[in-house]
Amino acid sequence: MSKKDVLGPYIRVNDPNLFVNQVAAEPGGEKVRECIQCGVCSGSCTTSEWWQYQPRRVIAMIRAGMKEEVMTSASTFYCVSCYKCTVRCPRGIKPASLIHAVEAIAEREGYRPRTRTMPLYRSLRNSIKSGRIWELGTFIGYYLRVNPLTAIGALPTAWALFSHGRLKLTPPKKTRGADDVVKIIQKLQSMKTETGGVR
Amino acid sequence: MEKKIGVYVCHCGVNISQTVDVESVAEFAKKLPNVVVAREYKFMCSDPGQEMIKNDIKELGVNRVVVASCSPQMHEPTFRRAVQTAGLNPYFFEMANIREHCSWVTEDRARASEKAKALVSAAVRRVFFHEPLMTREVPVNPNTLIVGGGIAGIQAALEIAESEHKVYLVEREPSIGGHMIQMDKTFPTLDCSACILTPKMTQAGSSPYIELFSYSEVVDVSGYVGNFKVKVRKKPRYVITKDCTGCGECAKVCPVEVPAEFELGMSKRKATYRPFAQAVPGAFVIDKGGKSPCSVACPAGVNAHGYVALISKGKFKEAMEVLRRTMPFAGVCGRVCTHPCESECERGKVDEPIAIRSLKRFMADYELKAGRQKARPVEATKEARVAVVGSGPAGLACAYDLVREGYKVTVFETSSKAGGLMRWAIPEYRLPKEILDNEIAYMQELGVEIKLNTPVKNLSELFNQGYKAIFLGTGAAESVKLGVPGEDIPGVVQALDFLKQSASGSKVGLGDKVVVIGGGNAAVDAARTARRMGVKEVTVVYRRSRAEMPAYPEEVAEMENEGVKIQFLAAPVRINVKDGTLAGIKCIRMELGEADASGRRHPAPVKGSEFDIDCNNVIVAVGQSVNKAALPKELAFTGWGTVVVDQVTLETNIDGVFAGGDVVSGPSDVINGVAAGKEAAVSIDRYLRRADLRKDRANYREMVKDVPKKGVELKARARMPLLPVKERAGSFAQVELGFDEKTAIEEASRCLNCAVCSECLECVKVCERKAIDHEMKEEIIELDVGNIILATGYQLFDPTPMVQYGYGRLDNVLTSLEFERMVNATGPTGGKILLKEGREPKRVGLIHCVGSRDSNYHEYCSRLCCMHSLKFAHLIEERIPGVECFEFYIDMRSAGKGFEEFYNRVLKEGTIFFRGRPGEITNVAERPEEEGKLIVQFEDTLVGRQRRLPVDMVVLSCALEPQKDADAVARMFGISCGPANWFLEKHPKLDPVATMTDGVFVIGCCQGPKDIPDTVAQASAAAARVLALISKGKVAVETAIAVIDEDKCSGCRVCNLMCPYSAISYIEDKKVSRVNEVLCKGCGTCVAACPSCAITQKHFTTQQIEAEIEGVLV
Amino acid sequence: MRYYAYYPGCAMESEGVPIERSLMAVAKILDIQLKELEDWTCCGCPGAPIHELEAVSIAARNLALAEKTGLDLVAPCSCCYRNLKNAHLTVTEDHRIGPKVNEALSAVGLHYGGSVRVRNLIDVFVNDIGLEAIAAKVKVPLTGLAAACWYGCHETRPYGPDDPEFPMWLDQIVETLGATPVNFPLKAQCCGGAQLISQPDVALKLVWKLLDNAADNGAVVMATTLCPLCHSNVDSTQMRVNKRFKTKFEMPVLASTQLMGLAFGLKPGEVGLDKNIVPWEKVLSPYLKVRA
Repeated sequence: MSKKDVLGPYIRVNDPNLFVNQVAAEPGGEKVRECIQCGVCSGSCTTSEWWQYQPRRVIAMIRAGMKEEVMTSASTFYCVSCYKCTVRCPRGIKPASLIHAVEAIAEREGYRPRTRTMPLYRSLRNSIKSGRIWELGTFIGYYLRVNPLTAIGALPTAWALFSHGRLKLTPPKKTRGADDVVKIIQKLQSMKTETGGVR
Repeated sequence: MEKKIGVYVCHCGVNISQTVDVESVAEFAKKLPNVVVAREYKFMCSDPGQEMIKNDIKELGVNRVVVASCSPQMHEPTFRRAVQTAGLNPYFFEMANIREHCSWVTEDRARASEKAKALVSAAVRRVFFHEPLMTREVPVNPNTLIVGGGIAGIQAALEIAESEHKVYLVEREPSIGGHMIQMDKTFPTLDCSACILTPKMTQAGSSPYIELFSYSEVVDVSGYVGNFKVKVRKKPRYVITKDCTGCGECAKVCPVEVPAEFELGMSKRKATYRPFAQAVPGAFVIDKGGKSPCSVACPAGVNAHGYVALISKGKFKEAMEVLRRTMPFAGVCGRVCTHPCESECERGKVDEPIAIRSLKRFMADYELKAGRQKARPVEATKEARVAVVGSGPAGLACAYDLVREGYKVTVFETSSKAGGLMRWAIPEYRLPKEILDNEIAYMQELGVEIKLNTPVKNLSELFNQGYKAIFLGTGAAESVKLGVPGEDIPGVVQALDFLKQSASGSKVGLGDKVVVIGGGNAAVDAARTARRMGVKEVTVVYRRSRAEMPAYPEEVAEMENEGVKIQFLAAPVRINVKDGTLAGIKCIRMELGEADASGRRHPAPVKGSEFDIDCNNVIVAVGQSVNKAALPKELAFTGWGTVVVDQVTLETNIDGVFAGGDVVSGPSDVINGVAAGKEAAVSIDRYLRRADLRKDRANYREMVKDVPKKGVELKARARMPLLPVKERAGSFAQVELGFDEKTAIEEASRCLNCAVCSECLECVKVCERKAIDHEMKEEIIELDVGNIILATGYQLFDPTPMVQYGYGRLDNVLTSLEFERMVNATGPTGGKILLKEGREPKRVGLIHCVGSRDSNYHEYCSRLCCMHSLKFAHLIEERIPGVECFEFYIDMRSAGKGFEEFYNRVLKEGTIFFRGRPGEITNVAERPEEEGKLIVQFEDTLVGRQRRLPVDMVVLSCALEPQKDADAVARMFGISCGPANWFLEKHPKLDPVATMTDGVFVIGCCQGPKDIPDTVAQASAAAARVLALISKGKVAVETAIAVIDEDKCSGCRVCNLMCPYSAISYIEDKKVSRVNEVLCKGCGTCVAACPSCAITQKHFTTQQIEAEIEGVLV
Repeated sequence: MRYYAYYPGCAMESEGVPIERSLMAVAKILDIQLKELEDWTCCGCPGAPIHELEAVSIAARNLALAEKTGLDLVAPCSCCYRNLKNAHLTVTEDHRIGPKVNEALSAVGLHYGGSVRVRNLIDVFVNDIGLEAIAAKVKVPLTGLAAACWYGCHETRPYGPDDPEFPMWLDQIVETLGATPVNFPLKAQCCGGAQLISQPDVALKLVWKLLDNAADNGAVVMATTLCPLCHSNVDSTQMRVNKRFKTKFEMPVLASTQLMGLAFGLKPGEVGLDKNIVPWEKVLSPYLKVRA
């Protein structure tokens, strides 16, 4: 779908594949249509300076159907989930959740914007399967996904924690809970959750 | 006659027909019993539609009509009129609502149609039983009540007054004018708000047809259109409006300053004030919240607040007058009072109570230092002479009050000097004698006669000498004995005797070591006196622990500073005597057991714990009692040996003899003595005037509630400077040195002015017109009116909860109304736009939609903010050359005549517009240029970047919100509120000023946010509606009223009680109840209540309702 | 004695160690029984951004377990608190997703009825235990200790209960301990912890802002809630911040319970101070001497 089409006058508002409808269907994206573009979210955003398109802009682009632009820009992945936008939004839209909804769609549809945060999320999500997060393991996994050299920067932190007995070298003992988690995840997959499980 | 029903189904354009199959409904109706014709038509309410009905009535002989269309609310009257013009009784008509109830509530065509049919059949069956009813009319009272004196209320009042009809204009505040008078310029024309409003205000104030109730509130409303009864509460203004010339002298002398509401706390006003110069009425008002806690706490009712307030303004002489209105002992009580006032002081809840006692002492000392001029004698206006026995606090206070009442009073004192225990028991270093002498002298100058060295043997003698009443204030100066072996030998002295000797200057021989027994003030005084007499070692022996010690802690502390030892939990068992002289004292250890009656834990001796303290003297201070022997036998005494009196009037068992003070209460303190003396004085005065002694004596002082403490800066209480300990030994110089002027004024300025007005009465002194009446009471006024217009306005949204905008937390963040005052020439800064630090801002940010368009606060748009923010920008640029203004908006809403043009003008003037609702306002700088500024962090949404803009001042355009009591007011006037709590109009388009309650209209912002032009238009509209009713002179009232079948009525009178309009009365002779047709509103309560089903309500008969229900069901 | 179901969260086993130690010690003194939720698992928050429903479902599992205890569920970690609360609200209020969650739970024979009260410990301290009770336990008032009370995000955003813009409860606790909470405008600012690994620049800059503002306002220590992520992020990255921004911050970061423990007269070791990274001995010495 080329930009020209989506931006043309004939947006089919009810087309489920229309980006805005996809987002609306995603948990957290429900209220995307109610935004009045006041900009309080971008005005409050802790990390705006790094975003290419800031939250309000992202919502506008979603409604304009500019899926490619949104998905390929790494903007949303700068969200640190501080929820300032959410508590200040005059329309109760929960922009942070909406941003995550976009990220979820990106993940599901295989978009791979240039950001290390996405792989981090994936490593983290993946490590949930073992019941409890083992940070060292998770992060090693992450650094292997991305460029391992970047780990060097983090070494001081790691060392500081380790030398104070705050970084576990061995994974936590596997609990029965771990199996439950896996079962739950499988169940969700069997529930056709490819749209966040809400359509 | 045969009943022929015609049914008419309306399409309402497509409103109904799109979801209801009107044709089939009509077809269905045809088949219903007694229906002779059924039609459907596009607009039944149109003329052709109505003609259709009329024709059928004429040609087909239709005599019952059913119209299935919209809500009866809309068109019932229309169709009733049509039916009537065709010659039928208008009540032979019934309406089925198939729009609001069918087509508008579902898209399901089938089910909508089904329901429509059910409703039609119900109507058809009902109308069959309809009976002809006659509409009744009642006269309309031509007077009108208008609630709220803002621009809306004023406008409406003037319009109606123009027609020479009476208007009652009720305003809660001291002046009319509302919010408009607070504003500076008005958009878009920029004419000065005051300039265009004040003429109307004065007109309203002077019009013979407008009766103004300012500072008043409506408290009750009853009745119905044309005939309302209204109760108005007139709050006491304490200034007689008609006499006050508004000269303002009272405010000049008023010592009390509080934040000015009209200036939103940005400046101060006096307790006696006028909200603003052009106020209408121009009379001042005194802000009084009851009595201050300190004054209430004082047993003698001394107005502490009064003199503290005056001291804070340096008016020490006047302060003294305030005290002397109640009692003469400023210097004495200023030193030795137990100050219950300070324990009640509200300031104590913030940091520390005001040092009231020390302030009292200060003003007394100040007067003495300055040299007191002789008091002018009070002329004896009353014949009767009064004898006062005993010259202690009680006696003197009693004499003082009576003399000022104009009685001749003689005080009889046994000893050589007046003052009682004030003189003999309180040592020089706490209460110098000249202080006491001065205050007694003052009383003598007033005319109190004091006979010294004259014991009173018996009372009848006094009566014989011609005294008409007697007050006994002989105190309780008899020392209680220790009751241990050996206490009669020389060397053991009673504290009182000891103190008295030292007070009278006679030498007292004491050894090096002295033991004082007791834990009361007498003990402490004795111990400290002994030290001053050079005794090396003084030990106080007290049987309980420090916690239970009755003496004042501060005194105990000083005593210890002066080197006195205390033996707690020890009691004497015997005085050790060696060859006839005192050789010491044997004591025993005590331990505390259960709490006794006095709430103090009772001490018990510990076996075998005796120990000796060797000493040369023992001073006994274990309590005092009444010396019964010295009192007339014929008096009645209690088991404690105190005199029995009536608790309220202080009468003894002997006629004309009153008693009070220690002689009644047992050992107490000065202030309670004074209190008793004053009460007795009241009784004696009444007794001599043959007036009722009891009438409203009991607690007449009501205390002010919840004193505002917000934003009070902490400030420690002034400390009393003390004489250095080393200088005290062997000297009787005062220990407490007293405040200097500066300290006194500062300390007094800490007062929170709990009751606002301090009742210092300075204002009364200066008011030449005698227009001030501090005793004014509130009034309830009853009004009869035919119509009511509500114009109660709005209140401004308080942005404090939106913490991210920093209001109340960061300086120079203002609300729109605060800014209005600031730019106003009459405002706190005289129209200068200034920052807290006093300079002009270089950059100002104006933030729109604060609290509006925000589901966290108010969903609605407040309509004004865009425009007045534009106005602000214009004014700022006009006043401050080179200033930069920034508007932060979401959407510019300049829909109004000349509004868009004004927007354009401000754009041209160079104001910068950013489209974006700011995220936050902070003072945390991230770049050098942000240092010391307010930084507005926002997204410039049209560029799509977050930006930080440093400014000096931020103005928050706050939402308009309903008055906080909107609910209560709505309930009182029988109208309802919409979702956002604005008053609900009858119809948003077709009837915007009327309400569902006939005769009650809503105008201005109480109905919803709107600007001045719209408000004025509404006001005039409402006036027109009211005048229409007035000129018509009568209104049709409910026909569907209740009637009682007197044959069935059992006379149980349940209905009489039930009826909310008290329209049902009981006919004694017939033993039945009867409905007053004029009063009945047809609510039906009585119908349901009647146990014998004797009551039916016209047009809602059981038969009709059952038929209707049947129709719905089949 | 008050009882709570206790959800430690994964971080408590690693960077949270000092906090958990102090929490347990303080809980004992305040008569709080923390019953660790049996067989708890990750709250699911790590995957939330890319699969909300999954995160919620996994959190809901823990809620279902907690529901059986009938106790309030307390989570020291702010992220856990937010995610658990979020799950609770989703199940109880979101009629679109709620049912799906329980459908997923059915796979492990669990069901969440929506009756659990998810709480954070600051809330418990202030509103259940009460400041008076805390004051009553203070043996060594931390008089004169200027602390910047920092709440992070999820402690109050978006679900409160304290004010999400300008919370005060931690300040009240710190004040109760005798210390002086400094005016700290950034008290509810984000530290960017979420991106410390993937986008260090973001995290480091945010931490720098926090430290800078705290120091500007005269704070000598930073007081945190009980969140191990907040705590460790500011504690463990200070030298990196200093390196990058040419600063010399050495501001000890103490969890609220560590401060409470000290004020209650516990030894540094008993509140896990030995595991704090930024040296604290100098700043805290006056309050430690008292014990000796």
